[in-house]
Amino acid sequence: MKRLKFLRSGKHGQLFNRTLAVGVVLALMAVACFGQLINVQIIQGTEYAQAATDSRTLTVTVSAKRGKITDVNGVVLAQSVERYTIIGNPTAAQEFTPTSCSKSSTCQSLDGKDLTTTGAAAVAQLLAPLLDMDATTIGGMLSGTGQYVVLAKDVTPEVKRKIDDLNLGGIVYGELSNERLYSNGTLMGALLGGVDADGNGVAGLEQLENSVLTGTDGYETYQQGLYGEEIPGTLTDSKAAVDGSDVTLTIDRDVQWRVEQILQNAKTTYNAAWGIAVVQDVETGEIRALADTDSIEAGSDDAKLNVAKSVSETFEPGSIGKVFTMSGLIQEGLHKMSDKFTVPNTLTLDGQTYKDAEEHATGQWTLAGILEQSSNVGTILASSDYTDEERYEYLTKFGIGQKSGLELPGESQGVLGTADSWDGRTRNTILFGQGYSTNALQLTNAIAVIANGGVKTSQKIVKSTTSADGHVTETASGSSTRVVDEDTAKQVMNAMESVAEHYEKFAGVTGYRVAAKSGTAEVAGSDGTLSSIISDYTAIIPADNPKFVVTVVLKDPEGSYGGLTAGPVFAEIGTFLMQKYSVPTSSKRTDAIPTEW
Amino acid sequence: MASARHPGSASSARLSARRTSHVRASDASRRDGQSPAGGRASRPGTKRPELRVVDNSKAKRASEGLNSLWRWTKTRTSPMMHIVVAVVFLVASMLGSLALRTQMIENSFESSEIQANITTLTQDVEDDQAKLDELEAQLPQKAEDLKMQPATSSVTIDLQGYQPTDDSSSSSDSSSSSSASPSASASSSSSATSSADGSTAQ
Repeated sequence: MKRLKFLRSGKHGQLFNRTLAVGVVLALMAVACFGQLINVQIIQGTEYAQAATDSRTLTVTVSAKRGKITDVNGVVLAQSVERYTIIGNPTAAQEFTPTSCSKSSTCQSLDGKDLTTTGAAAVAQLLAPLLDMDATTIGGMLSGTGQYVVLAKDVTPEVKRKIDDLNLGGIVYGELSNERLYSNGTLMGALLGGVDADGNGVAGLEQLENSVLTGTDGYETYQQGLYGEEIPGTLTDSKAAVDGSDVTLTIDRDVQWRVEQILQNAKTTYNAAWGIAVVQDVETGEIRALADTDSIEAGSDDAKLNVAKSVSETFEPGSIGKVFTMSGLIQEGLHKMSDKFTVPNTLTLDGQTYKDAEEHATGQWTLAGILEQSSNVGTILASSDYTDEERYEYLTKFGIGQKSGLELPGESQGVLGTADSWDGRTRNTILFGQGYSTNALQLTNAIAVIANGGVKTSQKIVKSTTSADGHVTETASGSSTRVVDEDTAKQVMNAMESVAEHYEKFAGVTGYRVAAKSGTAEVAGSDGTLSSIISDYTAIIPADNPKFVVTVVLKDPEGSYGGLTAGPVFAEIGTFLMQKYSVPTSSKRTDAIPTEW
Repeated sequence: MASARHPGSASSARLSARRTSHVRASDASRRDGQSPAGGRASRPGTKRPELRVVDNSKAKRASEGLNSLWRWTKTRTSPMMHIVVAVVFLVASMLGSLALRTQMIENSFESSEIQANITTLTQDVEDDQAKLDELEAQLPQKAEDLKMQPATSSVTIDLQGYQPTDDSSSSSDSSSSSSASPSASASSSSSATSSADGSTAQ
């Protein structure tokens, strides 16, 4: 107290007052700062903290992997692999100066030496050898404005790691993406189809099974550091991605490969426009091979734009249609295979003339013989009591003009006009397979009815799907319907065996009994007239214990007749199938229905 | 600190210490020829000297302070030891939390590194698998290029009418024929048995 009084008195008084005043001002400023500190730290503290956290919190999508497509044995036909899209930042690239490797370890060097250029040119020089691109091209891309430019797509992880080692963080980086690889080249090219840039199936089986193959993306919410890296321990919310399920087809890759090869050889041998072949397993209705002569790389633009010929092509089956007619006749009790007919070469009915493919003298044939000789006239004669409605009914029951149930993209269900739409000629030509159209799959399944003892099963091309956790779901079998009695099917099969024996020299398979039917149809050519030929041959092998139904279709082969051109193609395919699946050989035929009388 | 458990005995010890100091003081004063403090006029006729309480020792000031603190804590509801323990626990838990957090962060850095490693290895496995599939796919074509031909017909051995010598050798015989395909239909019962043997061997 004494001191204070001393300071305030006398000449010290003014100095003291001034000091006090300055002190008060400083104290007020301090109080203001302190007040602001309290305001920021305590009053608005949580707000600022929250804002800071929000500014560095990031939600990143974790993408799911697309499922694989495999054949029936697990051979991978299509799979997705991780790739990177290399992104460049032009603004950062133009400001780039390389660091010499003698000064620091995070440096850039070209061929062991320091870079002589700076900016975008330097970055381009560093990237060019890794991306296998021209340095000037990359330099051009990095010379623009903006902060985002795609430098390269579908870069392998190996290359991306090498780019990371260039220490160009912030200037060049990689974004994860997926690439669909088809390891089998042109095998089942258009049938597999392809995916678009977003990874969605747009054609073929990729499109058909798209919902199964596509997984569900997940996400991760975390806080990121200055350069985008995840700050450890800040993962707040995450949901795991669910990978897509794998799809197992019924197709056997080896059979498909061999059938495609045989078809290609046949196309060359017979100078055909195209060829189609289908192999179907009798018991299960599974498609073992679905081949055509188009050579399209799976996943290519062609595969995405075109539908597989084997799926989309429709044609008039020709004499194979006689099988359906005879089945109907026998089932309706109108005739038996052993009934006798006298068959002339030509026939005029209701003002329309019909003749057989091969000139012959009037034949004394049974119904089986009519099938063996593939006589149009004989078929019409036998169908005198076969009404139009019945004709239509049996064709529909066999699956002609109906959906196959496979739902393949681009699949056509063929054309079969209703009974009242048929004119005087059409109602008879449909008896021998002209006047309606089918695709190869429908035809095969219809013949499989006979192989199956009269029961029509549904075809399958997808055997099962396997989810990401390993759970296998078999595709449900569709419904089966009885089309004809077992006895009817037996008789028809018997007659078809006689047909196969007729062509044994060209289309026989040593050691096995075959039940077959050939067909030759005149179809519209490119000039609008009936100038083109469809030659087809369908066979059930072995006839005593049916395992497979094979259908071969050729367009405009030299030699014309189905039995002579498509028949030998079947013989090669049949031989291969019997050997591959170790099918026991057939015993001798004992119960042949006579074809002549 | 052992004395903390027996506060009664400690305080009594300190009290007795104080008493002895007092006694010493009084002894000292007595040695100086002064009568004991408290002003008791014990000897008649003598003048009562001016008494003054002498502060004991500077050296004992620290322990005095501690003793007074101890007395003070004793008057509070929680004794001093509890507070010490609580403070120590608090400090220890804060240090422990710091240590754990540091370890956690270290571990998460490590885990990020391992995660990156796993990603790298997975990608490599994927790429190698794709390469393997491609090579496998080229197998039939390469076989053809090497002039290999696909197998045509199978070799079949017709066991119809075959009479086995005895039961055991018949099954070994039919299994030794590599692609034996006995005929499906057999008229005699013996060939039916042999074809049954053959099919099981297959």
